Amino acid sequence: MYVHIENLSFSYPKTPVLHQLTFTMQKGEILAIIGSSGSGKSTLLRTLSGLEMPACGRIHIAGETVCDTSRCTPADKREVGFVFQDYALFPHRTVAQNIAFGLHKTPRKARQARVDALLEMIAMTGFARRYPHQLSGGQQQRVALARALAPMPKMLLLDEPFSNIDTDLKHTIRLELASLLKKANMTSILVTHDEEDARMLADRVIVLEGGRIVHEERVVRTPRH
Amino acid sequence: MRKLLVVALLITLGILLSGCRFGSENPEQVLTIYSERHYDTDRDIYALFEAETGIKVNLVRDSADPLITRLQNEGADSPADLLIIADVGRLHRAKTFGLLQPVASTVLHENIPENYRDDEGYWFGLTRRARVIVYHPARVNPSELSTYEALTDPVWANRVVTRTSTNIYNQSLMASFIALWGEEAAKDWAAGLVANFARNPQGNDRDQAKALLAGVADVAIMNTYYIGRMSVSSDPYEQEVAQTVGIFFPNQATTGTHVNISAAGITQHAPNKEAAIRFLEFLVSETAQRLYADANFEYPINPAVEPHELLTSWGAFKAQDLPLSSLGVHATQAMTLMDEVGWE
Amino acid sequence: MKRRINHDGPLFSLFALIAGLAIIVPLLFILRHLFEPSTDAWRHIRQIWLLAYIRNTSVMIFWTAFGTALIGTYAAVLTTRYTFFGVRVLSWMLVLPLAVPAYIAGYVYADMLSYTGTVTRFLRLVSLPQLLQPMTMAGAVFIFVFTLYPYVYLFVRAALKRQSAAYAESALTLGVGPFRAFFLVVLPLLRPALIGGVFLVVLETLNDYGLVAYFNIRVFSFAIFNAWFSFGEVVTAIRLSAVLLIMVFVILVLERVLRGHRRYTVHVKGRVIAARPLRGLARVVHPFCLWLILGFGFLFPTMQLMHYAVLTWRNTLNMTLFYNFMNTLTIALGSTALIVVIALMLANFGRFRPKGWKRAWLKATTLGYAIPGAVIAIAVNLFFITVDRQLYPLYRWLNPASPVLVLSMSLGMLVFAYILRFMAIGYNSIEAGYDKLGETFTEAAYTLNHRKLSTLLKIDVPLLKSSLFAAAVIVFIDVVKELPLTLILRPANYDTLASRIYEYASDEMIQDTGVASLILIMMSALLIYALSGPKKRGRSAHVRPY
Ligand SMILES: Nc1ncnc2c1ncn2[C@@H]1O[C@H](COP(=O)(O)OP(=O)(O)OP(=O)(O)O)[C@@H](O)[C@H]1O
Ligand SMILES: [Fe+2]
Ligand SMILES: [Mg+2]
Repeated sequence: MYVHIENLSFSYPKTPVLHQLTFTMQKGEILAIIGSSGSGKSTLLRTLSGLEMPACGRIHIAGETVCDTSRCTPADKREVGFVFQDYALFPHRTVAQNIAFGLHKTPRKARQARVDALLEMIAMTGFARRYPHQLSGGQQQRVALARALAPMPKMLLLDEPFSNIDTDLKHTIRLELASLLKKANMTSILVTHDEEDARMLADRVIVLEGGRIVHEERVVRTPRH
Repeated sequence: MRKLLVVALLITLGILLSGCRFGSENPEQVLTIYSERHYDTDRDIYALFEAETGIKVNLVRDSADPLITRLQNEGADSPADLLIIADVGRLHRAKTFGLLQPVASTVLHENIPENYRDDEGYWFGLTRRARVIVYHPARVNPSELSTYEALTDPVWANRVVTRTSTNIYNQSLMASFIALWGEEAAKDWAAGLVANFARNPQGNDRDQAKALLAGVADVAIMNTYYIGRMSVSSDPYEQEVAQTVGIFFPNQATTGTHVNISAAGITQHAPNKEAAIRFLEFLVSETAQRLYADANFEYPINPAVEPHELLTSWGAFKAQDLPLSSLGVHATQAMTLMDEVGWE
Repeated sequence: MKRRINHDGPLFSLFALIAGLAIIVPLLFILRHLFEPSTDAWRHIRQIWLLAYIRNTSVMIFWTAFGTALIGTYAAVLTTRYTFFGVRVLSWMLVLPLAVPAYIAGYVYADMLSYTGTVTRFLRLVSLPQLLQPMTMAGAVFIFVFTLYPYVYLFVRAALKRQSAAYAESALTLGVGPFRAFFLVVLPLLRPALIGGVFLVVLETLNDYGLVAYFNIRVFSFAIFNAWFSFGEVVTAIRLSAVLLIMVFVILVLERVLRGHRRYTVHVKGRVIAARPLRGLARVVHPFCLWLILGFGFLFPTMQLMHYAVLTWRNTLNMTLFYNFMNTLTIALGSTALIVVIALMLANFGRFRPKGWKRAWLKATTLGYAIPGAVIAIAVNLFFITVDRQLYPLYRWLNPASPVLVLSMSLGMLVFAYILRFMAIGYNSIEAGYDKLGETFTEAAYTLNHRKLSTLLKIDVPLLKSSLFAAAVIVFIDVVKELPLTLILRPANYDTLASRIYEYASDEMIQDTGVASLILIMMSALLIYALSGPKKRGRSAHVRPY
């Protein structure tokens, strides 16, 4: 299994949030997590990315144990990409600089090439020198995605990526995102409120309630057009 | 932004390092003085000494008590050679703390009258200042004035001003009375004076003189040299104050006018005792005393030097005949008594 | 046991540890004095003065806090919510009184109202009596209020600019009139800003020595110096400052209790209320009041100082003064840079829900602001002497002729004391900046494989730029004005503008302070202009002006 999560539990001071979660994922699989507000979806992503430390449990990603009882790799060494709910694009950096931010270890030439390729992938080549506040919600979402993909993470976590985008646009963006992720063969977890999102994008859906997995199902996909 | 930070850090390091270098100068050439006096004249006099001897004078200036505390903290490692304080009581305190050492020097003995130096040679006077009664000639005839004690008479009710009891000049005045008359009589005097205050004590000595012209009060207790300095003030209206008021030396027929001195003592652990003695001798020499007298309107300690002509115009006066160390002995007591009678 | 991701690289933990130790250890040096047996002086002070000290201090703090809160809020509301002729100029100029040290204002006002003073002379000219008594409690409060209100003004103004229109508008839709809406919704939401500003005012007031000594107002700072100067008793001075610390602590706890569980710092994005023009009589009255406030706090004292400068510049404007100026500039720049960098590191260490000991440790590093300058001076001096004695073998190895006391004779001691004293200002404004910024940008950088230090430099610092700059300006101004530490701890032959001004004033040569005071005030005023003067339009549109 490419991703393997075992008995994962987490609590904030005084508030237990996740209880003994166990699930696995295959390489390239897209997993959707749905659940009501406060059920712990964001917290699960934060724990997987290394921003929070679980109380107990194990996390294996790409053949490596990134977290168990004895040690825990911090976020900056875990190579897990994260697309934040409000995108968190750095306001003082241009689109290109945002995308290049995670490529600080890549040589300059290669970095430039990668940024160009990603800009082309998200169809925003002309926007390289704009600042985030000069972009629409959908454009910001695409830049955030490109930024997270740039360092070629082992997996990608997306926290409600469509929540800031209105319904008209949502449909196209959803399709785009699905094809982008598939093209990159990116193992991804997507948090959403919307079952339609889940069904259109994911290979599998997990329903989280009160920090526990209450339901899991494989999506029988209606063939895409 | 980052460049700015780096530059700022470099500047800081530079300051710190240049500051650190200070301690490692060649010690033979340096004399370190802890001084409470910060008049520009003092600096000129030190510069003269530097030019004459080639010895560099390092000056640490602060109020008396921080300097004494600092000497105590530094102990045997202190770089200070000399402690100069504008109140002999404090210098006496430094002596009792064991911060000073006795020295013998014929030059010092010859230039300083006996009552203005410690009989054991721990401290030596540099300048004298008298605390006198200043009056407004339009409302007070000098013949009405006689002694400090007379100011407690009910005829002076609401007519007297002076500074606060936290001020060293008044504390030293009070201490001298404790030494002369004993605790009870001194306390009665303070209580009587407070009863005659025209206002709550406030401001500095010059403010007391101005209060006379403003009509707030008719007499003020203050130091002579402030009248002198006001007479050459850059503000023409202050000159007017100095020219209007009259000076009266009280207690001439009895115990004499209160006098305090600026004095210096060589520290217990002075690294350069010889140079320090030389420096002291220079300070009481006629050259230096002339400068003290002219610039600051203080009375010179060296009898060979005439005071400033303004002071001579006020005439000679009889000073309290007290061992000056008693000002230090009774300092705390003075403070306590003044508090008790409600002298704010 | 709970485990947490160690966001704080070892670098930051170590740094916080060392910074904390460097600040706490010197304070421990004097703490032991508290437990020494009582002295006569202490008994005397307790019997005769302690109650009066507490009463006077409380009265002074209360009225100063009240006055600055009132004036600061008034000025902030007018300049953010209304437009009128001159509002742009006024809105930054109203910060200027911060550049005027209270002690200078004290000397100047006392002189202006004295018999030979400008005001009295003018009144005499028109045959009017001069009835104002400047050297009283009321006079001191007046001066504190008009020189310190900018702290409240700055805080409340920043909060008002952030406050979303939604609050006031939702109150309106609920049928509450605009006047009541202001008091029911807008004002309560300003509370943290108001308290933050007033708290700084209170601490500055408690720490002033020059003004209260000159006016003979028996408050704690005066008492502490007096115990030291008149009784020669460091122990009593330290005891008194312990009482003072307890008072500060009580104020803090009281505020916490009153605040309860309410939260005020809600980040609501949205439209900010647009400023409306003043109408009718208000168009004249309010600007006049604002100019008057500025007059009392800045214009009148500066004009009087200019007059002094004209009288005395021939004697006082010389190379010595230039060196004093350079000393002031370099030491203030250096200390400010250090304070801001250390505060940034500490604030960075304290992010992400600090708990228990970590929180306490960080609070302890900012204690210095509540401790009277004289006590800090003694503590730092003792600490440096001890360090010097320990390092002596090293000095001797470097230079066989080295004296024992090297660091304690250097400028390093003074810089260290400034850091101890003003860390709180730097730390609090940077922490507030971090609060506003939130955590997502930093977390996003972590998920993009950036380490803590690189995130700090590439993301936090640029985004915090305005907070850092504001912190730097306030710290700089405070260092430039600082008195007791500067006087007690500066090395030999070293003078700053503030120490020169103090010396002239204590020699009763107030006119001679003119040039030095003006230079000191202008230095700070220039920085205030840079901080809050009219902004050039730039791409920093996203960065909120302070
Ligand atoms: N910083 C925190 N401290 C304490 N408790 C927290 C904190 N953040 C979140 N929680 C609690 O953890 C639980 C899970 O929160 P989480 O943000 O993971 O929910 P979510 O499923 O993402 O909800 P939503 O769909 O509304 O985003 C909630 O009950 C919340 O109250
Ligand atoms: Fe004097
Ligand atoms: Mg969530």
